[in-house]
Amino acid sequence: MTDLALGGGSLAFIGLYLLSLLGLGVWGKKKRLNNSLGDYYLAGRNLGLPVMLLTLFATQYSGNALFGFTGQAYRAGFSWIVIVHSMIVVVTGYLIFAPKLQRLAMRHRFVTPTDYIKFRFELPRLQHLISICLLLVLMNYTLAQLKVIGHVVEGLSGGRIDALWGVVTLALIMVVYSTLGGLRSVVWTDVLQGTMMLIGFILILAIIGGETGGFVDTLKELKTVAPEKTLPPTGPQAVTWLSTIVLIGIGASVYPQAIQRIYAAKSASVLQQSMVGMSLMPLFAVVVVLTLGYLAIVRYPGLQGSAADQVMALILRDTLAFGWQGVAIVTVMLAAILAALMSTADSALLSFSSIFAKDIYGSLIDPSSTEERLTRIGQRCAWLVLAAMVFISTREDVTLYRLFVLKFELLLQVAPAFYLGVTNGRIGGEAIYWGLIAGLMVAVVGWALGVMPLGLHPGTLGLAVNLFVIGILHMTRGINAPSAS
Amino acid sequence: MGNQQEKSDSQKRGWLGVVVLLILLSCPWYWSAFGGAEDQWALPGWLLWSLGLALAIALITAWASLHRWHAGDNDD
Repeated sequence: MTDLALGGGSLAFIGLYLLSLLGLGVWGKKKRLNNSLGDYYLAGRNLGLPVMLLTLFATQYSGNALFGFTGQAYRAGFSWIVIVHSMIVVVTGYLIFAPKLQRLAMRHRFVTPTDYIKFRFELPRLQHLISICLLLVLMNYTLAQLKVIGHVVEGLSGGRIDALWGVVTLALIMVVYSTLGGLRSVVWTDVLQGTMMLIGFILILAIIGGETGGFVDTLKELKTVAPEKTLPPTGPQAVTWLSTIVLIGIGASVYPQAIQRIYAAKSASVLQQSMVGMSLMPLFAVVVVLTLGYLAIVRYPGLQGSAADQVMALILRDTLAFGWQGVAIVTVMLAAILAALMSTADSALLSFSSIFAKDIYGSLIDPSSTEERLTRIGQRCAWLVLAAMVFISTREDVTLYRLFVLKFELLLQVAPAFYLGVTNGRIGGEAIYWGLIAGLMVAVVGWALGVMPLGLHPGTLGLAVNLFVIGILHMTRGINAPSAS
Repeated sequence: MGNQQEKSDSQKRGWLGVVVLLILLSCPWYWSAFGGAEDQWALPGWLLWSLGLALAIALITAWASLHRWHAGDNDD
């Protein structure tokens, strides 16, 4: 990340901010009612409206949104506006299955996403395959956040702190507060982060807009600087546009950590009102992020490949030139960025530990474990996985967007189990299982080869194959499959 | 009860159908057919059109989350 080299006051503020996260960990521990999985991983199923809305917001808008979206806006130009549609469609996707899933979760005390699969399909191999897919996705998600954390810390300190030590320190803070308080602590860090992000975005837009003589003039200039980035999609690009909406819209709606937040809602009406807020949020949050990317095309021309992921850092560096107001804004933004990364990573980590403890350890290794024991296993698992991810994060070299896409390639194949499971009581587990296998093969092979046939993402193509197989098997053998729904 | 369920299913299909249609329209690959309309605006016309459709999708989704929620209470 571009060096920002903040002064002592700014670093003290960020330090205090990080300490407050540990405070939330201690608070979360005090609030714990017992050592049950539901209390630890779902905050006692008691999340109210403001917390629910902000934690859903923080879960979906992470380091990827801040660095990956601005970088992709820079690379792709106006056609990346499709991410606005995609993020809205995530909520449309929720509406198809979340209402019923929330009622079922409340009634049957689900803790992990796989609990629903087990309840609905009664097919252990499907349950385990979905658990493995979700664990892989969560590892990818955590890894992506850690990579950015390293860059941010290095830039923040002007290169005085090595990326590795930055990642280690922040990962330690993260795992401590999430171990102490579970989801309670994590959602309150989300609340802090979401609030600071919203304030930071408004401030940074105002200051940059003023300095460049207004957005409209700068965006007009874009037509001269990079006219190819202002053109509407045509031909295969149009297919890719729709494929992106499917990939992200449907894929992100089955984030394991988001599904667990659906389970954790205090009531149906809390979830309902949160969805209203979430459906409108992209029109502000994503549009702001994209606007920064477009302004950067004019201000910092010539960035190629993963260098474009540094656009946000460059904007922050230039904002520092605006005296004490600039420093204050950048300080708030950096604290918010760190929190965004950490709270996204800790959500993924918490979800990972719950799936490992309950669906792998509690199901395959020691089915006689008590909930207290599974909670402890999950906590240990979080420490081990985070240590492994920290190690890997210093060795990977993939642009953020590629990591982002890989996650959705897998999630998209899992989506039919939730969407069709909830909406079609006659779909059997065998059809979903073989559809998932076929979809995964197409998606993973396509991703590995780096091909996009007809402009379709491998994940979208995989989903088409997945649904085709499900349809065929449903019609030929699964139509009378027993349903627990 | 049966009629209520049918009505709710029909509403679900209705709003989902509208959202899918708007999603399909949101990609303005057909924009060149309108030729040069973007020059009248500070931002390209196709971008404003697509953002307008995004707003419509968001509003319909928000509306559906308020109205659809209890539909299907009996289906589990």
